Amino acid sequence: MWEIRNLSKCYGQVQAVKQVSFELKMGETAVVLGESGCGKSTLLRLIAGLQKPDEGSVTRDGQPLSAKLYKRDIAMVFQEPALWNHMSVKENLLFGCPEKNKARRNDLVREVAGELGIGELLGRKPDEISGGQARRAAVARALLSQRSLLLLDEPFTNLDPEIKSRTIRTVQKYCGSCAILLVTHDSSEAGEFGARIFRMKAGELESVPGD
Amino acid sequence: MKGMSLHKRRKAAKRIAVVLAGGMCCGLLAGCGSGSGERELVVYTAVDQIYSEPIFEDFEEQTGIRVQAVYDLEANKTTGLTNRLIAEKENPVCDVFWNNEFVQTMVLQDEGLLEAYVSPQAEDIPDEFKDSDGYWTAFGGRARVLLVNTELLSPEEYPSSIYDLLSDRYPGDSIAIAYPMFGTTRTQMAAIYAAVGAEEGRYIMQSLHDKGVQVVDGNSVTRDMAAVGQVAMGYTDTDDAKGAIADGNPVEMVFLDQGEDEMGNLITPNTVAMINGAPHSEEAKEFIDYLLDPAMEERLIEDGFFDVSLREEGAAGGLDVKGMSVNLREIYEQLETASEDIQEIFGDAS
Amino acid sequence: MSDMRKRILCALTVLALLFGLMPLAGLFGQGGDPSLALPNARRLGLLMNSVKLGLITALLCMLAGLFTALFIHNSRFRDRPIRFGFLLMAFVPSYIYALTWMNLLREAGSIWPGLLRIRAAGLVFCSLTEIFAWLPLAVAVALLGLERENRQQLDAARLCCDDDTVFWSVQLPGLIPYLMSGMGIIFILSITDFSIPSLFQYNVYAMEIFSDFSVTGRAVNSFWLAVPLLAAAIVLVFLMQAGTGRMNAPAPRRQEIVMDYSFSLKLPQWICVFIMAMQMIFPLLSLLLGVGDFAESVKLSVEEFLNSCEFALITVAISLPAALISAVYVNWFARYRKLFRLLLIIPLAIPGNLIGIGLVTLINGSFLHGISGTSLMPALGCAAHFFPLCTLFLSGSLRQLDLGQIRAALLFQKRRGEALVRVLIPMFLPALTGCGLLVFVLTIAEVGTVLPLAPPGKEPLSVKIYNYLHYGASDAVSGFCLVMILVCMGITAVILRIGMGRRGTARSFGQSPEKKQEDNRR
Repeated sequence: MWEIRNLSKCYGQVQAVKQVSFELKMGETAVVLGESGCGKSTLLRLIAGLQKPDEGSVTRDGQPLSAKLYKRDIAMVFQEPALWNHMSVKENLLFGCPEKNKARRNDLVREVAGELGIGELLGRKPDEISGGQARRAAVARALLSQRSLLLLDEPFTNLDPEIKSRTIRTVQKYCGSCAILLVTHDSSEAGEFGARIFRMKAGELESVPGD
Repeated sequence: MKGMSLHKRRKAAKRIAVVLAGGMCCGLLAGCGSGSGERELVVYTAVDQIYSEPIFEDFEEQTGIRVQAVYDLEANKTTGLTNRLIAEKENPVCDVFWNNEFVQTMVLQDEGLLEAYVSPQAEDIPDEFKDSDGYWTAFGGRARVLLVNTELLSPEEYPSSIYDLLSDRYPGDSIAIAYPMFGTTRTQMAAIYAAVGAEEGRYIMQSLHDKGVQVVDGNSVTRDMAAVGQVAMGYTDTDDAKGAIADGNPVEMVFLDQGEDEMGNLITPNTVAMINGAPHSEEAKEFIDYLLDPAMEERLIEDGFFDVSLREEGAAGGLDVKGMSVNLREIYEQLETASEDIQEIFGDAS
Repeated sequence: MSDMRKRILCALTVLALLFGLMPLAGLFGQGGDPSLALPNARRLGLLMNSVKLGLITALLCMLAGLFTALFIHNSRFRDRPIRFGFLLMAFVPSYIYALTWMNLLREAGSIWPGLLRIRAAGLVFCSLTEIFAWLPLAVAVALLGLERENRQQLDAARLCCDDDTVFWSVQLPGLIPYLMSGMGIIFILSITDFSIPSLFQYNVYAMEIFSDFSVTGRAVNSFWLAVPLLAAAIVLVFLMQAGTGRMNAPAPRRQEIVMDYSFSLKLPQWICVFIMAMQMIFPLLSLLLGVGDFAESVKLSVEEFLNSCEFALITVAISLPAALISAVYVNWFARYRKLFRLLLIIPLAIPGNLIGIGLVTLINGSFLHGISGTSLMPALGCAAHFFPLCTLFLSGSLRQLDLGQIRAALLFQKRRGEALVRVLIPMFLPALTGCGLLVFVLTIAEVGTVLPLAPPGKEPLSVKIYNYLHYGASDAVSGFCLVMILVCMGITAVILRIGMGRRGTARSFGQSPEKKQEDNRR
């Protein structure tokens, strides 16, 4: 269980995230809906530990998370694919993969990449693939890192509906047992995930009734 | 593009463009805008700025002629200015070349870059220090000197002739000379060639090489080695030697071959010449006369820039050195032969 | 871009290249002995010495620069202008800088006589001094790279593994174009310099060229002698730049939480910062102790300093457009980009005095001889010498630009040139500013190129410093250097403020989404 308690973040006079609290069980998916600039990305970055909150905490099963980012057991897909250009797509995907056995690693990467429709691109460099393919590669990288909490920052933007559905299915398949927090401005994505929905407005988070 | 607003960025870019354009215009205007009708003179000089600048200022004050100077660096051994003068041959910019030695002046003469001018002030300068056609005139100068460490050698042990240095009395590693391929060491070798003949000169160089004298990186190094006692003696120029003495080091200056029938010691004089096609020839003549005034020689000895006077009467405060009785032109003509031999004999030293 | 525009860009680039190579045309008019281009055994040995010194200096200097920059980038000064304080000694000509250490050693020797027995000569001392002298340049290059990192790429990596692994796997490879450019520049500076090697009695090839020039006075022969040095520079710079073409990172971001490296990565940072501090404090101390009457030094140097600034400003004004055009063409459009890069290295590796003499010969004998006595001459010489450096520097930065933004600008521009003026140049302003500063500093400190070109009566400060140095007026030299440092630091501060904004280069290129959001709200 992931517990987010009273998270707040200010930039000067602007309150980007205001007293946000919620819980997320393992295997559960939550979606944060909101307009651009309402503080969704900041919320994810605070949970991931990429930024320090002014107030509040993130705990797992009551235990505070490590200050070391890689020990927090969190994976994240950013708004931009953020692939490392000096590595091949395959090297990008394998970067955070905890699997030690080389053969199994290769099988795994082929399998996930195949599911996402980028199996043929593994040998290419990130600047040799399209924007949509890079987005899927970024999702594959997060899935292969096998973390307990997956943070998704509008990862499906600009994907065509069919590929978007396929990507969502793949995420659900490989992250079935972990917690997923998706931020998006597209309510249809929330529907496809069948998740608990929050709405964020001017830094404040509110549950959407009925979910 | 996100740090500043586009407006601010555009403003910043404009400001930088204005600064750069302003700088450029100022430079061009400053460079081109010298036609004020003021009398002007362009002097290229290899003489240390610290000595030459006050002389230019005094000349300006005395005559009202504005001096635009170009200085060379010691490290360039005057070749920087010589090359510049050659490069500007088609459309000369310079009026007077005031050199701190004579070799490069003769290079310019051979290139046809000089114009003859016999200054009335040079009458008492001996003929070996003047061009027979009046293309250049030498004045004042420094001398080559053997700087001897007084803690390692007593006065009676001092050598008196260059031939003494070749004898077994002085081990090779007790003598230091600068690389003879460059600077005044090279000129000295050429002067020896001019004085005793090429064959004898080659014998002297070969003997110095064979006995294993220490060949180091410049006159200042030989000076320092003699000063701290790393060697018993080192060949250097009088200005370096005087510096070592002034610093309180146990050293003394020894001039070789000063006897009646001996070849004498090399003096490296300054030379002054007018440039062919000089844009300000009248002002140039005025300046040359000003520079060759005996009082100027005295002033430069007093300032410590000259160590010797070339005039038969000498000048107050100058060192008493017997110079070589060969014309500077003869030394210049031996330079190539001497340089080839030096390269052959000392080629492995650099 | 239309074919016509590409052709115009190509023609402008060729013109810029010809401009860089132009002084050589002046030299070739003098004939010369091409056989000098083949070094004999002795010269080959000297060449090896030069390459050895250049490689060691470039590698160690850039390494020290990288770790110092890492420290600065992770310190609390990371967003403040004071982080550029390391540039303090960059404005002192390298030879004078080396001398300050020699003087300091001598002064220390009067307290500890044992020090005087150390023979400060040879490769080690020479390389150490060169590393010290060019460390600010190395730090500047590495810091520029760090400030233009892609934050999301780093964040993505930091969630997967520890910061040390992130450094080796993501951060360092991303910095390679910068580090290689920096190493290339330092390598060329090192192999073409003879002043520091001569001070430490280390025989190098550049000294041979200079000696030959001193003896024969034939500039064209010096060029032929310089050919092996040129070849070494071209080969090495090419090798250094090989494989860096893929570093096409999009716009960088500012990271909020600094990297938390382990002790094994912090230790070299501390060591390098200590070296950097020594690089500044001791020579500065030497200058401060050495200065006599500072007011007199200021009075004596004002005119010459203004001359230097004038030359430097015009040089910047000529170099930057030429370099920007060449960099854009060579990077994005050129078919024979390797050939272009090769041609660019040539003017860089030619000793400055040859460029100067070549330019005088060319201009004086042509219809342009009217500009002979103007400030344009030294500026043209320095621009020809340094614009290739700018081009290489800007090429490295161009590779990190977001091409999408530029293509969008080209698509949406309403009139010709609008994308260049309103998008490309502003996006590129920090790199242009950095480049302009580099050229400004190099021109201010340059002696070889300026000496044959300075107009009569307009002596630059660098030449005056050398002149006074020979006389032994070390107090005046110290004073001049301090004047140079103070004024150049002032100019740097102003330029950084104008060109990069108050809080540094990173912000000019991008900012956190949160900050963007804050601005939007405002």
